[in-house]
Amino acid sequence: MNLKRILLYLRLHIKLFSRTRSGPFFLIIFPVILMLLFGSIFGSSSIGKESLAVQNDGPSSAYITGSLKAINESGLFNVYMVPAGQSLSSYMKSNSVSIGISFPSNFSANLANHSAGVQYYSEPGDQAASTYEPVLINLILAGTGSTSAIVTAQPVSVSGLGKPVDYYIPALIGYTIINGIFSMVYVVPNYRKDRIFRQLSFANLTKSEWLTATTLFYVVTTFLSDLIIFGIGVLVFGISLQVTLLGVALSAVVIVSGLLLFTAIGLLAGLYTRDEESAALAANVIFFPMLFLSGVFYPISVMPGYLQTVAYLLPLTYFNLTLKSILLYNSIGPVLLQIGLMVLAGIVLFGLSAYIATKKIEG
Amino acid sequence: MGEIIKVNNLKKSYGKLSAVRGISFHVNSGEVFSLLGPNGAGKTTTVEILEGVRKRTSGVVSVLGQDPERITESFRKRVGILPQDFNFLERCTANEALEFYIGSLDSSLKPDELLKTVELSDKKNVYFSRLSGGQKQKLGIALALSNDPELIFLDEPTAGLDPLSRRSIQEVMRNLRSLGKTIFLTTHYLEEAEKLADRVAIINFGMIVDEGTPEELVQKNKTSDMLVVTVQDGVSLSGVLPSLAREKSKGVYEMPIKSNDDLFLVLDSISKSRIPVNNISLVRENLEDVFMRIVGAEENES
Ligand SMILES: Nc1ncnc2c1ncn2[C@@H]1O[C@H](COP(=O)(O)OP(=O)(O)O)[C@@H](O)[C@H]1O
Ligand SMILES: [Mg+2]
Repeated sequence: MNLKRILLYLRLHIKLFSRTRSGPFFLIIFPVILMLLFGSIFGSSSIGKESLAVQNDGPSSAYITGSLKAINESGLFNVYMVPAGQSLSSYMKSNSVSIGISFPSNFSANLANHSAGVQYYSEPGDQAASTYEPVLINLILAGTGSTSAIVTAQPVSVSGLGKPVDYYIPALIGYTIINGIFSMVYVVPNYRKDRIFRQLSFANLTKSEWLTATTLFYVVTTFLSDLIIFGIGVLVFGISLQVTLLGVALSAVVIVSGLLLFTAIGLLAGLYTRDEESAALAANVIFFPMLFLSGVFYPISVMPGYLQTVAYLLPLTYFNLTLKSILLYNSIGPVLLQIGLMVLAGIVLFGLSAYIATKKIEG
Repeated sequence: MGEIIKVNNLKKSYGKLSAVRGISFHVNSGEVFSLLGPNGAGKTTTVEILEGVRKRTSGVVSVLGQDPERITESFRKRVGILPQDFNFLERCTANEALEFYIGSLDSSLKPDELLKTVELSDKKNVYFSRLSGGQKQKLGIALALSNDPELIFLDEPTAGLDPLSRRSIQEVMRNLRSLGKTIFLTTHYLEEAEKLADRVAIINFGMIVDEGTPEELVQKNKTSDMLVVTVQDGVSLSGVLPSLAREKSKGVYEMPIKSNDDLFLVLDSISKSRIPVNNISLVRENLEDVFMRIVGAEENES
């Protein structure tokens, strides 16, 4: 491996890439459009408030009042109070309210010993309801002034009130990761057909140098599109995620591992098919289920059970969940092992596909 | 420097197919050596083995003192290659392609000089995909020259081009020759080998069937010149020159001519006979005829 040649090819590759129409579109413009789209749909409260049914089974307390105040002041919800003892789910059904929370009788007491929980009610399959879940958690935390765990066992940050659009930051980063599948899938069969690798070898550029330059390019451009997604979220939709330096660094690690993994899958698809068309088909067969089932467009929790089972068989799901955990909840400890496994999977599969490529590509 | 390429009993099989069946030859430094043969003769197989692109089945090969199966980066810096069906990155300009090659091969040449050598200066900033067939080949030659190589392989550089482009590329090759480069040229155009090569090896069915300078090949394989006489309807030359004339088709006679005396004798006899003649021509055999006869004339595309 020769660094000078890698950089020379990288420079050439950047020029050629900028001249293709589809490359910049899918890498930069498409995620931007998605972010703007989801941002406009879920990021602005002017779209119309979500109905929220609230029930308090316990005594009135400053915590409950504070939570309700925070929820009301967020401007995101029309709140309907449901009297204690009444069935919250039947109220929601008869009044077409899609989200409900119920404070159990021991909520205020438990808050002091860090074991409080609220019951979150939502329609299975309701996408919006599920995206509001973290929002409500944050609002309640803010309202109670508590730092303890609520609803889920995951620690939730107090500062920074989430909006549903926040969800789409990790999700769309997930989209940019899985896009890596297309980084090699067309190029490899075409370059083989046109014997470009042989031609490059006459300039002493080896296949591993080519692969390094191309992958490097893809990693850098993906970071760029992720940065743009992030920027749009912050500047256009006023997202305030709880992001630490460690969180950013770990997200970068997750993104690189994902790119290695999916680039490798695309590379293998390109190597084991005869032409560009069948390679693209193979890649799309892998791509589309993950695009729709791994939590890019809507959370996995809104899907019916059997699809959730499928989702957990798809690798992108873990990248999405991990990014969500880091970027949305600043929850790092519980996903460290998962990150380690993803790094390992990325490196192993990429190494394997690179080895096969150097053996299989002629010339 | 003497022999820059040495090949001894080279064989190459693809499965059951023997593409090259034990060929031997050498190429001297500074000469243009042409491997001439019809399609499928084994030219590309041979040249790619010399370039280190393909592995041989058996035989001994030395190129610039190295075995091309164990080439190093330095080998690529000393050798220029224009492969058959040369292709490059579609949206890359001629200038960018050359810059990449020059940088990657640590050459000190300039893209402009190379474009000038191949007469492509006006296409400097044109995408590869927008170049014509002949211009693409010229860029391919420029890339092959970008490391200022001692030895250049050109595999069918003019195949499939129109006559004008072909001539233009041949002009470029002549320039290279005058720069003192050793050139290994494969072609199925005889006229190209005849015009450009110092030595020619004719390959057919994976075997070298003849070798020498173009003149030597003609000389060695030469049959005698032919005088072809066409007479008017209803008359015959048979009575005039019974021993020599052979009626090839109706009214067309062929006579082998070995010397000027032969020629005068025949013309004299015809003249004395007063037989009305439509046409008389003297046909000299060239390398083309020799080549066609050697390779069996089964190939005819150009
Ligand atoms: N990679 C290959 N696999 C199988 N057969 C091949 C391969 N390359 C060439 N051949 C066969 O070997 C013979 C010689 O081919 P080639 O060297 O390309 O001839 P030429 O360059 O003279 O046209 C042909 O019969 C061709 O079909
Ligand atoms: Mg050939």
